[in-house]
Amino acid sequence: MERYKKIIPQWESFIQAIKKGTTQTIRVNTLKITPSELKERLEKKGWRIEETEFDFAFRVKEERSIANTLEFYLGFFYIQQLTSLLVVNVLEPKPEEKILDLCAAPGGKTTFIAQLMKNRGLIVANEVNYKRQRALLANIYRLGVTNTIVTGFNGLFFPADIKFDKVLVDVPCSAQANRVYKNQKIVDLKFIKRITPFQKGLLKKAIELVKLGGIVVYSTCTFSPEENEEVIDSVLKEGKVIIEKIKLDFPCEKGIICWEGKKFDESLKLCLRVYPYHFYSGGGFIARLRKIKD
Amino acid sequence: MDSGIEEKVVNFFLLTFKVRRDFWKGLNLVLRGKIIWINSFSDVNTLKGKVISLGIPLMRIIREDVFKPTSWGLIFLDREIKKNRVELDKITLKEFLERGKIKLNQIKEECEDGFVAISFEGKIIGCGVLKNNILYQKLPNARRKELLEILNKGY
Repeated sequence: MERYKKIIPQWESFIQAIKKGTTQTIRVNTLKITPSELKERLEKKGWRIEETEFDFAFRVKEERSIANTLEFYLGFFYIQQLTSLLVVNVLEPKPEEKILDLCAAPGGKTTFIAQLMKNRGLIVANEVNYKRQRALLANIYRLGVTNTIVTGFNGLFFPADIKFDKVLVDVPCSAQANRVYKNQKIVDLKFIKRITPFQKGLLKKAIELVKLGGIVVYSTCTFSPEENEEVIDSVLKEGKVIIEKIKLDFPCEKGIICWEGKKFDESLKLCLRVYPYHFYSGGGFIARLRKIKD
Repeated sequence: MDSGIEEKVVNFFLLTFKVRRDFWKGLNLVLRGKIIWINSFSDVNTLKGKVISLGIPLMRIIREDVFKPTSWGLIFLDREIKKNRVELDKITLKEFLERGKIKLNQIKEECEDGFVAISFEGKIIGCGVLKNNILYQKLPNARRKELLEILNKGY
């Protein structure tokens, strides 16, 4: 991770947060239960949970897995990192909108979008990988989501028959924000080099699929600028989108505008970088783009 | 969907589980292949090809006019189900999931032979069939294992 020492403002906090490790956090599925009802049910069964800075989210103060509960089986909650909730909050889904989640599995963000839309409007949740489709479907069914169609297109070739109000493109990435806790090789430059053209392709497709004036949210769970700012910078040059300021009051870092001799567009400062010391629950990068030209 | 089939589905849930007719307002029933889906979006013909699911699978058509409710569907309906709910305690449920069937000594009056909704702690957990006081499970295998693990590990 030393590679990122120059761009992570609170390096010591970053290291400390990694050492501290991540905690279990859950998102209450308000399509089925209220936060207070769930808290009461879980506490009655001996679970210690506490509120977080996010609506609908609780931190679990136990080592044992909360997936081994009837409440999980029934879809009353979803085990989800707070950073994932932030991504959906940046998307700002509204009931009656038409939203595409281009790389949807395993469905944590899709089902949260459905929750905020109160099961109205339409979500198209796309996933090309068969095994991951199974997980996506199980989560949609378990959480009682009725406003979602699941499709199995390769994201790069998703048909442009309809235009969406909003598109979420949470791309496959090197997942450094998750690997950092698992004693796995964190930075694999060969992999990064291989995956960035795919990430750029998916983002371009997302821009094609959103209607004029619509919103595209691009997110990753990784820190490498090649997969984040550099991808956004490449589409900005085409002039079809601009970066929008994210109006959320959470403690995150700004996007960077230079990396290893490369200079990016100044507006990349409007993106968010989330590090483990922000929420002790995941990390990554989020950009909110508005389409201004077809 | 053919309004005839839609009416049959609504009637099935009314007669078998006492689900109110007005519950279905604002929801769509969509037949695709042998599955009837329940969903809440209006534009079902939005996409062509590679569509994998259209909401939550509610029923399977076994043969003409013979329906089987899915466990996912019954869990979705949960509190709407007023009849043919079989409540099991933890020990009985565990035995039932391990063996695939169980003989019930006491059955409430509102339970008839045929499809039933299995309930635990007052919540529907899946589909079963009751015949001559024997309850047979119709849960998907992965869900059966998942629930069994929950019962074994803690819950």
